[in-house]
This record gives sequence, structure tokens and C-alpha cells, in this order.
Amino acid sequence: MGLFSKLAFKLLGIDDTELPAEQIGYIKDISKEYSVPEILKNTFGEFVDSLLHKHLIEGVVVFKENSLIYSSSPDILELANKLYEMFSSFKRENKVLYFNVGSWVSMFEKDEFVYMIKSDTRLCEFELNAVAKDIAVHGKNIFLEEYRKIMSFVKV
Amino acid sequence: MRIIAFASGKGGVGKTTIVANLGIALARQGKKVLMVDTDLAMANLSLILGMETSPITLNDVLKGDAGVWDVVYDGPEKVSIMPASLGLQDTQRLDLTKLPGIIKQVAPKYDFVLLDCPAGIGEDTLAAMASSTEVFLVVNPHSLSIADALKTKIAAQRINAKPVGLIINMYAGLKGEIPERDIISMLELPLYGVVPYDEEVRKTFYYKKIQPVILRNPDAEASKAVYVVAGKILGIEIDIKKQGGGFFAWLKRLFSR
Repeated sequence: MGLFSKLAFKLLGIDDTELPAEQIGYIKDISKEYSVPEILKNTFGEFVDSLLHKHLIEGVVVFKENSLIYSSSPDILELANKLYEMFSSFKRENKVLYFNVGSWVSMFEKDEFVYMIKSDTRLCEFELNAVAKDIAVHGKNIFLEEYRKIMSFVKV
Repeated sequence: MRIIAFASGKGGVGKTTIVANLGIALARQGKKVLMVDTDLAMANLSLILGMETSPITLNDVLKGDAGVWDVVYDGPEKVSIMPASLGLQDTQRLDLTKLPGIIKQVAPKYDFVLLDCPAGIGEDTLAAMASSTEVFLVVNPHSLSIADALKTKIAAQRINAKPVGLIINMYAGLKGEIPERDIISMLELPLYGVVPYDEEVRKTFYYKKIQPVILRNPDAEASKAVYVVAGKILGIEIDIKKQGGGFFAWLKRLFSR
């Protein structure tokens, strides 16, 4: 825009801006696509799916008293057991141990459970605590039920 | 006691200005207010409030080198301020996981704790949001700001923080600005107020002593809009005409410039 046009626009108070309709549509799409899901707890599978989706994580493994209670995928069981051993020998109260095994694996202990969380990016403690809190608030009973099943199986 | 984090994702939308002015507006309604600068790398809150130097800051508490109450300073209009460091070296060794505990420790003394978040959705922003009881998003009426605010909202929800409201800042009334109703529908949050673009706000940075616009010019459109936001947060209607202080206050302001 030339100097005279600019001057004229300024003097006459002309507003030559335009509403970016395409961008508005794009943001609305993002808004729909990435909305954070509620944690569902009707079934165990539903609970875990919504947990992984909400926190954008690849997998969760939960241990209690040296027993594996839950793994969201059988593929990570071997890795989980190895890292759990390492974690048990290193663990410090309220601290997270991070392992870079292609993906990031974070291990921490919270309220009698040890959590292993596998994710694309290195999650900070606030993100990890949120996963643990969702499990404690919404899924503790589901996990404990699984734990009881495992323990009764062990006793038999 | 309410702990409100003000986040935006995008930098430069006016979060710090909103926090500083809103804190004073709430204090003028008789509320005990603490403002915390959680922007630990690019601290500005204390400067906007006219504090040039703070020998000990929140950064020192996060390093374990100072106690929480050592860094609570008196600000204008009886507000308290917990500043962050203006130094370049003070962002190392910070244990951000301590922040929620620090805020929890001081909050019971106040009606409102306002957390001025950094830009972005890094660990520092998440720490501030995790320390809050509610999150407000501050946006400008353009797509860049709204897209970033949306990401911030999602990040807040993922860590179980609670986005509860929206403040549109620097609304200039241009045709190309995204209208209120679209911003509300995109972010799906209730609107707490629209603060207009006001040259008076920018001017406050160019005086010898920086002062929030609500103090320097209570009759400015931006100041009035901040009182509306404060009223909505408090659930009351504030008589804006009474906030200016009358002729003598105007005269005093004129000669103090």
C-alpha cells in the first residue's frame, strides 16, 4: 500500500481488515478433534482407552508390592519388568526415573502403586501426577479388582 | 480463597497487564490479593507494578535458598506481590515441583492469589496451572492467539486444572477481529469481559515510574473494563464511576506524572 493510500485510510478512518473465515474454521476443527475426553469407567478397557487418549500416552503399567497389576499392552510387559527391577533398586521418594528407550518411559511411585508410563515425549511431573491422579480417582477400584484377581490366582 | 492462573499460550497478549490491573481492582473492593509472577525466565509483573528491584524472589524459593514469606512484598493499594527474578542467571536449578506447595502455603492468608503464567505450555506454565484452583485464558481477538489459547486449555485439562473463564484483551473493533461469539464457541468458556485496545495502557510504560493504568488513569476505557471483569469474578456489579476518585484524585494524578 502506498504512502498516500495509508494516509488516506488513516485520515478517513477506513478499516481494510477482513475476517479470516478459513482460520476460524480451522480452529473450530482443532477444537473438535483435540477435545480432552472424560475418563470413562464403565469397563476396564473403556477406562484405559480414555486414560491413554486424555493424557496422549502410549501405555501404562501399574505395579503393587512387586506384582504387576495392569499393563495396557502385552508388548511392553518385558520392558516393564526389566525397568521395574531397575526402578526398585534406584527409587527415591517422590522422584521420577526417566528412561529413553526410543520412546520415553517414566517410572514413579505414588500411593502404594508404582506407575510406568510410556509416551512419545518426556512428560513432566505435573503430567505424570495427573495420570496417577486419574487412576487413583477413577480407576483405583478397577485396578484393585484386577489385583485381587491376580492374587487369588497366585494363591490357587 | 481462590487461586487463579492467567494463561494464554501466546506471548504478548497482555496477561501481565491484566493480572496487575485486576489485582488492584479486586483489592479496591476490599479483597486481600497476592499476585505471583510465575514467569520465572521473563518476569515483568513487578516492573508493571512499579517495583524496580526485589532482592530475593520466587526463583530463590524454588532453588531452596529462601523462605516463602521472604519473597512476599507490599505493592500498591495494599496488594502483595511475589516477584520472579529479573536476572539472567536465576533460571537454573529451579525445582518447579515445589511451586504448588509454595502457593498452598501462602494462599490461606488471601482472598485471591493471581498467578501470572509464562507464555507457552512448558513445565513452568503447567506448574502454575497445577497450583491453581481455576484457570482464566487471556486472548486477543485474532486466530494466532485463539489457537494458542485452545492448546493451553487442552494442556490445562490434561493435568486436571480447571479452565473456567475467558478474557478478551486489546479488542480494537476492527472488521478483521474475530467476534466475541466465535471466540466463546471456539474456546467453550464463559466470557468474563472484553478489555478494549487502549493507548492509555501502552502509555503507562513510558512514564518515569511505570504504574498500572487502573491507577494512573482509572477513567481509561481499559481500566473500566477491568473493573467489569473484577465484578464478574466477585459476582457483583462494581460502580465504575466511583472508582475514578473524583476531581481531586484527577488533579493529584495530573501533578504526579
